[in-house]
Amino acid sequence: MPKTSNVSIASLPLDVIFNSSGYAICAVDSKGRIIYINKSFQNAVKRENLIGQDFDSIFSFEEKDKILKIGDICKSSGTFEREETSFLFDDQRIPMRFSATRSDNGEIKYFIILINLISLKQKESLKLDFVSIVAHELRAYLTSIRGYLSLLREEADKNAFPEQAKTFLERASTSTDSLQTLVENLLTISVFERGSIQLKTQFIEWPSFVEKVADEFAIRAEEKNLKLIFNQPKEKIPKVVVDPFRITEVLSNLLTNAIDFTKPGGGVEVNIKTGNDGVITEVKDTGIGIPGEAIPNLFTRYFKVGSRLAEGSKGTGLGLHISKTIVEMHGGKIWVDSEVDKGSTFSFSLPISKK
Amino acid sequence: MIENRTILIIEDDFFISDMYRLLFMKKGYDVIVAGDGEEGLSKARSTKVDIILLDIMMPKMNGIDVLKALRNDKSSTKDTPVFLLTNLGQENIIKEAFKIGAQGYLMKANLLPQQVVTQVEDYFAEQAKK
Repeated sequence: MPKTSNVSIASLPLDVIFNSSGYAICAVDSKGRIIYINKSFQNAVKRENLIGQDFDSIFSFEEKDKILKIGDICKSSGTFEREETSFLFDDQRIPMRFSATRSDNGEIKYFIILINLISLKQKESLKLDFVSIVAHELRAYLTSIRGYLSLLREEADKNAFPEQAKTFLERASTSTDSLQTLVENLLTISVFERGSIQLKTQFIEWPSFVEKVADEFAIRAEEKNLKLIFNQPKEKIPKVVVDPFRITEVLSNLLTNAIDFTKPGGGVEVNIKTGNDGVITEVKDTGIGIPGEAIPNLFTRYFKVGSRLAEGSKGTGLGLHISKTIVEMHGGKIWVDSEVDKGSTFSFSLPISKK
Repeated sequence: MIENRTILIIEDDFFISDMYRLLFMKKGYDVIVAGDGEEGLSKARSTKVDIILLDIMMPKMNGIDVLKALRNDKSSTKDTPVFLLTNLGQENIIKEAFKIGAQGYLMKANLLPQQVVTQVEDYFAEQAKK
């Protein structure tokens, strides 16, 4: 048990701990009578004189179509947990997580812990609404900024703008494109997290599909003096069932990263093979690599490797999180092997279609 | 000489509509703009236009209602080609618009203004083949 200074947490009054937990907590004795409630519980149920009352006569829990009785739960041993039940009280049905823990300490038989799921879900939903609204607003302005920049670039070419002015324009355009990618990623994430995405899958001849995407990136690689090669697989690759639009996002993300994090003169290779996990696609670069300690967090939301890698790099780290989500929606896995200063290999698997 | 094509741009974001207006004018189109749905509908009815670019989210009257009005009309606008100006996340609206009788849609955020012009030109080129 971690301690702070010399005071053991066990010496704090239980009431202080319970009231600061944020959970609604109530304790009943072996007969199912309420012997303790904390502030959150009191606030949640708003009823006076609960102490000493029979729990089941005031509240009930509903699990699917079954009513759970505290009296019955008291008879079971150990911890009783349910991810989703409903709490019925005053004709209200409140979805919540429920957990009761046995305690054989004297008269106290159980602590009952309630977490109001509605408020958690509402908070999450509000956050997603916010992200989505902001991203939509940003994009409206971006459409206009990108449009006018492209018109200005045309003018610059036609009317022989000074070289420096052209450079400034190019830089403004590049940053705007990056901002566009960021906004698109934010929108994609807000849609994913709502769970409102359904894959539109079809059978795909995988190698030629990947080759086409890789070809589009070869031009970008060349601009940075990098060689991007698609290696024809040596074995026959079975067809895969994918959502072409979504899986292209994964390939684009991996290829963009490979190009962004590899210095001029380096190379990016795309390989396809079969393995235990199905069809495996590899994007291998000779880039700056990723430190070992950063790898476990690489695919989590908003994670970006620290300053060392950030030099000369762009993006928010949303891309890999999105890629992981998409690959997993397809039933596959994504992983990375990397060595600092040698390069990284990002791989993902797609299950082989049984048909 | 072939008569200029007339395009009506119904879009409440002035920067966007003016960007398209400039490019279509350069391509030799006669361009009419409207800043909201109501104005758009009345301009579509009072002038003969060859194509309409129609934004969805607009004050006074939204794009879908404008489209319905254009299509229900027994007047000349019934067969005027309509391209929606859309944003991502409006897939359901696009589906509905196709049912009502839109000819296509242009995803604003994904298209540079030059590409918008190209798509409209391509549409006319294809129609000419038919």
